[in-house]
Amino acid sequence: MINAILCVFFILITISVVGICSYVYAGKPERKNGMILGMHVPDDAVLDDSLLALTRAYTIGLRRFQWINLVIGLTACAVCAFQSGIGLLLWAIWLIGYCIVLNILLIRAQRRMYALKVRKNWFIGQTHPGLAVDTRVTARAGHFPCSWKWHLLPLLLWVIFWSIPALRLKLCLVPGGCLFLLCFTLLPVFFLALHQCLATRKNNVYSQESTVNEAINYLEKHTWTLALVIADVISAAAGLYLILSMLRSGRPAFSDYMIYAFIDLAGASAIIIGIIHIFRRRSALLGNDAKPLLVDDDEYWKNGWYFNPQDRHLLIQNRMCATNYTMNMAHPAAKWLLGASAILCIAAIALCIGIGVTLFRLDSASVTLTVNDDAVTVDYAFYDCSFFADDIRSLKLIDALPDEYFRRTNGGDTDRVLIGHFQGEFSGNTMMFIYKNKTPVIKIQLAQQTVFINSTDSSQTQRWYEQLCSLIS
Amino acid sequence: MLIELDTKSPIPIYIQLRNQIVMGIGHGMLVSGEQLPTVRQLASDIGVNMMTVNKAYQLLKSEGFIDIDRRHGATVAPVQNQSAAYREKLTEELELLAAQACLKGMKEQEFLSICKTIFGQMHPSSLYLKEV
Repeated sequence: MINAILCVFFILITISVVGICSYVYAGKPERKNGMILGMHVPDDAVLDDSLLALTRAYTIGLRRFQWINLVIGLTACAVCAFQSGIGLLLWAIWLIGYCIVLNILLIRAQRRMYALKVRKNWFIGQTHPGLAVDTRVTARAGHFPCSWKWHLLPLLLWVIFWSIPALRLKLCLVPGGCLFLLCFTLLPVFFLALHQCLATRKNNVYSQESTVNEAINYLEKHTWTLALVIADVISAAAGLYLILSMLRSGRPAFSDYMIYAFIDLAGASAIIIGIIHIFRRRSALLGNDAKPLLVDDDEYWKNGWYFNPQDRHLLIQNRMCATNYTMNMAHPAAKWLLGASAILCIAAIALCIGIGVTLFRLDSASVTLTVNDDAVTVDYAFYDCSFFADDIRSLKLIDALPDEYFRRTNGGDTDRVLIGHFQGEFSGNTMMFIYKNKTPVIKIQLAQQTVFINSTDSSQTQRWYEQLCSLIS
Repeated sequence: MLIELDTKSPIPIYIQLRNQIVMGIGHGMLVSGEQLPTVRQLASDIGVNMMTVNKAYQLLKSEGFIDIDRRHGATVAPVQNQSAAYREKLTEELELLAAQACLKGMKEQEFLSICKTIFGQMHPSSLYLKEV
């Protein structure tokens, strides 16, 4: 069941990632806002043979890259359905590789485009530009974004949960309750920080007309911040549902998690709708602009990334995707952030490999029971349990695990097995070496611990039981 | 009004900023009483230190081109009647320009014609005259 959910989840993410990237970057060879492949070119350059060859090569290369990656990504998802460990590892490596290679492709296309532009001397408007600012837009910019105070509502909600001891304590008794509450409390803080980043970012100048500049900057700041407020409130509502279900019934049912995810997705869709609205409206406004600002600052983008030592801004609107931001690599903080991102990527890869290896070992190992004189060792992957015959207080062969709740403290709970340390509602400290849906089960009661063992083969379990019985008799 | 600053120019940023605002007022792109951006917002949008913008605003204020009020921020000042001090300063600057033009072989009529054309482009918004 878990493998099937993982598989569907990753298929959806794979299709979304490849689909969105294809949609965003496929239109770059067309001339938009005076640019082709992120570089300004004059009107008559559109029909140039070299340019057409370059854009054709980019389009074909990108299309081929996206299809190949869709197949690889979906294959990794399919592996998740059978071997979640290997599948997760392959998928994570594919995603990181996909992001890196896609960026290399975009950088290479931009560099080639700049080289062609220099060769053909396609410089337009003011070259080596400085800094442009529209005083009317800058003076009114404070009124563009929605108020950040709206984020205080969800934050206040979670503060109430933290400040009422009865609620807090009850939640902390539910497995993962405190962690959920902490995550839900941090979400409005994250949204608030993002809100402020977007609200205070630089106002861009697109046109010689202040009305156009004002309309676009208002559109971007207002829509982004409004979408964030909506997403924050909806996310808080989803969290509230989950927390209330935890308070009501202890452990939320699978359907509760699904309802939570569904409500949360509605919040995420507010952001996606906002981005699409900005994209369409900005294109319409720029399309109708009679006096576009012809500033050719391609010199700072010639490497495929932005590098302008004269510009003190760290975050700059991305050339290849206007709703994205990129860093000014001449800014000292950019190098630190890039370094930190590289470390995070390496850590993520290491974590993925670690999780992948762990899950693979959990799925592929088998339970072994070894008796050496009067010492018994039960072993599965990286979990083992050793005891002497004298330690056994009671030994039973039962049909199935007792009908009680076992909380996993250090172990694995996959579709196939229950392995490691658990805390039983009545059994207390428990170690399990159990194949799910396999009978019978050996219950070994020790002084401080209860051990449950079985095998995929019922006759093997029976033999182990007889072996243990002979040991204690 | 668009302000464009050249970071590679030898002219300091605050002087460029001052000059562009003065020309904006002169061309009527910034009207009398119009609110200018706050020092913080303008510095953020240009990507310079707040002190640079503050220096430009203080210079503009001392020259009487803008008013700075604690509540309303910086606003474009009304057109002023010329003072004797300003006439003296203008004479000095024109003297230098006339000398340079003369040395480059420009005729008096041509120099006056250029002055007339440029002056004719100035249409400051004069809602009322501020007495000095």
